[in-house]
Amino acid sequence: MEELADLIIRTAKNKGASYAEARLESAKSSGFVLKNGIAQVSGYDVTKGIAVRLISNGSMAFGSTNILTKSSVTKLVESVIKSAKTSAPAAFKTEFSDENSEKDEYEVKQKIDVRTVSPAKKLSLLQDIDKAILGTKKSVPGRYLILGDEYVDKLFVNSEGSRIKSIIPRTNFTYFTTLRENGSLIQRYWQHGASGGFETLTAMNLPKILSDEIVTLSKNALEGVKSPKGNIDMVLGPQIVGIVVHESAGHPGEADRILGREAAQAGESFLGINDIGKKIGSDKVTIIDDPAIEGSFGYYKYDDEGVKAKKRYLYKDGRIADFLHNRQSAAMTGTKSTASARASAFDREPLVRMANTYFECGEYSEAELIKDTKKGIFMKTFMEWNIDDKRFNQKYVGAEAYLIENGKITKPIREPVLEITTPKLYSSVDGAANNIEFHAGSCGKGEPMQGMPVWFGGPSIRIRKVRLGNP
Amino acid sequence: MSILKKVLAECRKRGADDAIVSLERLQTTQVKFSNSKIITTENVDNVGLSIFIAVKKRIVLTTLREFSEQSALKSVKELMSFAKTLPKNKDYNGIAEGPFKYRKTPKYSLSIEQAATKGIKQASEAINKAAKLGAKRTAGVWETNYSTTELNTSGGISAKEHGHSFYFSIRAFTAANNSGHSVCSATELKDLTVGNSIEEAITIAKMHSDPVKVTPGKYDVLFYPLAAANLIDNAAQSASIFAVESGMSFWADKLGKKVASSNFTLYDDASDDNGVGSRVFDAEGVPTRKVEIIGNGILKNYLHNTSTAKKYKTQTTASAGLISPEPVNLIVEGGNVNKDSIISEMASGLVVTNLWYTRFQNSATGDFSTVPRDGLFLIKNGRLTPVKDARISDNLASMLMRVNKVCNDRQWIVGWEVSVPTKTPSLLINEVRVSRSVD
Repeated sequence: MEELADLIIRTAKNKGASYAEARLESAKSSGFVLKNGIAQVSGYDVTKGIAVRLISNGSMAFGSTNILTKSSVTKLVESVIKSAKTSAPAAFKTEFSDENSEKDEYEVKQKIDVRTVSPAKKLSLLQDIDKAILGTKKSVPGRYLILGDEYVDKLFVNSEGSRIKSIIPRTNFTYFTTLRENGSLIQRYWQHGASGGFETLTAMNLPKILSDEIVTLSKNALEGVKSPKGNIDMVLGPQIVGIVVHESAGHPGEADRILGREAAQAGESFLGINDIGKKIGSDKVTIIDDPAIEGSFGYYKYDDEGVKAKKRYLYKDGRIADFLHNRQSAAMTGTKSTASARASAFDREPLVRMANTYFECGEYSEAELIKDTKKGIFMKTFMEWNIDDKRFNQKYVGAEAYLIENGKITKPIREPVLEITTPKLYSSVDGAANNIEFHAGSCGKGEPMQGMPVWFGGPSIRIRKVRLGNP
Repeated sequence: MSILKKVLAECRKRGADDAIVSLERLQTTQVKFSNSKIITTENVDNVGLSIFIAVKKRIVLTTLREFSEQSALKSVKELMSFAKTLPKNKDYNGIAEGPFKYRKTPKYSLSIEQAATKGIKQASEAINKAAKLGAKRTAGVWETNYSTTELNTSGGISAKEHGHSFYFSIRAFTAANNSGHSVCSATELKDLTVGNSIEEAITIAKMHSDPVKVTPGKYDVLFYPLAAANLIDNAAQSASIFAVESGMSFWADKLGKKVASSNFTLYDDASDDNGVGSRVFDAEGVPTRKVEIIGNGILKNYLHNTSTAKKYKTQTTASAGLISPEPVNLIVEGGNVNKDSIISEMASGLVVTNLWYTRFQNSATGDFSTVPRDGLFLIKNGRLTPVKDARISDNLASMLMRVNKVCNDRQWIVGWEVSVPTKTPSLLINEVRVSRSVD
């Protein structure tokens, strides 16, 4: 099959393309669903397909097929070349930044190969989680548990001599639980994920995580008091810090958004392309995106343009440090790619994406942040969140949250609402703890939509004198 | 014998109680533009063979996007072994028994190759037209999808359909922060109202000049079709019996009860010729039909497949996906009020033209929030003033009970924020809670 990738490059060059790349992907995934203890349809998917992206007459065009014959692939290249040439008069003249050509092979090792674990064993993990939830003796009428894994074998070749083979297996677990307590329904959704084998799922200790969460949410519903409003100090737990940095540091730092490429889809950014060095928060704020974290959900060694991945500082010491670039956005702004081009499958174009975004650890412990707070809120987990398409106005509704009085956690509070602008949030940070955690998500972008595996995380942080709730 | 029939025969031979084998080919061409230039084109061709098997109430599914006749037959053996290791689904009650008669699908009016060329031309013309009308820059897509689906089941069903659809989306900026968004879709290219969408996007953008921050509070809100469709799409997920059983529906235990104001009627109609989600038959081969979800404010039906319908002693609504029943073409019954006359008669309120990032705090209760995007206007004594930075933080179930007026401007909406094609007019909803971030 590899010869088809080479055929794409040869054909594209023969037809006049100034640049061409081919991505041959083979994936096997399996999925299991347990709904209120009952196994729903389970199954597996097998996919193999090839993509071409090229520049001809200065115009960029993409195409893909999973009919893997020489004639089909040749026809695909011809149609993509035709589209590029036809669109050229109205097209943006695409150039790519100069990058090293790379030749490499890499594989994420698995202790327990996801392909060898029996369906029964995978499903039994969901059943164990369900039993643990029921073991809390709480009323949980909605228990929707999803487990999945994938094994993706990829070959990237381009006309500049790059040739990269990779194998990345990933596992993931997603749940929706609905707890009935004290006359209310409390719902929680979250995801866990990693790169690696089946051992990553068993190491997550999911039965305990979910049963503990049900007990905590029940306690909050029974004992929680109304959330105070007005100006207050807050300690945000790692889970919330994770979603905060993803939404309001990672997304606004995507150069394609800043340059308007995604204006009709995922939106734009409150940041401008010349904002590097601009103050965004207190000097306690350093936010990083690093694809090279081993075992991470967003792991890769080379991006889908064949550029070697590296750690990127998005915000450093309270200032905007760098943006996430692919080769096109880098060329447009006279810089180098930061290896941020990712495609969710063979039939999707690579876009500028995050990998593993996190708030850098500080010098305190979480307990010290709380102890040092006279009156405040400790928001540990959240339920609902959203942010506008420029990544400026955001909202987080707490799930597990507590009142802090004189440096001590005194009582649970119900559904505190933090609705705040990005600069206000980061300017209010006066300390970060050292208890870093990473959480998994599927980040949405592109049209058609591409869900991309990412991690986001950080330690607990404290924000001072922010308004809780609406006036 | 076709591959479908051979795979189905293999399923039977190996002891499957029920089997559905379907072959789907989806060809997409897309032209994507931003900053008033075509930024890329896409030609995607995807073929998939799906095999659904039930054996002794154990259900398994595979989709093969790499297959030969030999590998497909081998997959049946694997699936049977897979199924035997699973626990029973006591709620599973089988698939539809056919055969059925189906409505005919129209012939293609142009080939996919012609559509690809046409798309580039129309997108280029749209960019130019928008510039002439005053857009400083535009972004969007022009897309067409050609699909063929062939299906054979152990219920005696053999069916085949094809269809094509067209979709255009444009976001126009008349200044850095003044934007309007409009979309259109159709099953025939001649019905794709690209010109109207361009004009609507630019009109909204021009009106949204120099907005001021919104004051939080409760407002009567007029949701334009693009915004209303976002709400309807999110709400209608509650109609699937799968969502009801999973604790993710705010219409659980509401069948026959009032769930919306009496002027609100909602259908799911996969048989509508103009809906881009239309299909002749559902995933188990049942002919699609118009299903009333809400009639004059009363919840009339949940969406079912054959198995769930048997469990609840009702009829399938022909809403089967291979995993769960789902809406495919939502249609809100139109009213007879003109939205401009509503605005002119309102002393105060808001106009929301688009919504973004709609998220439930709790899909079982309907608590949610969503962020207005593009043109957002304060109504004061019948006049519009641009505002910004609002968030709607309310309860969607309750909002449907507060639909005050249903307008006469129905449009088909599909796009980035509206996954299920939805035909809806503008809706005036009373006392909507609006909040704003601290800055």
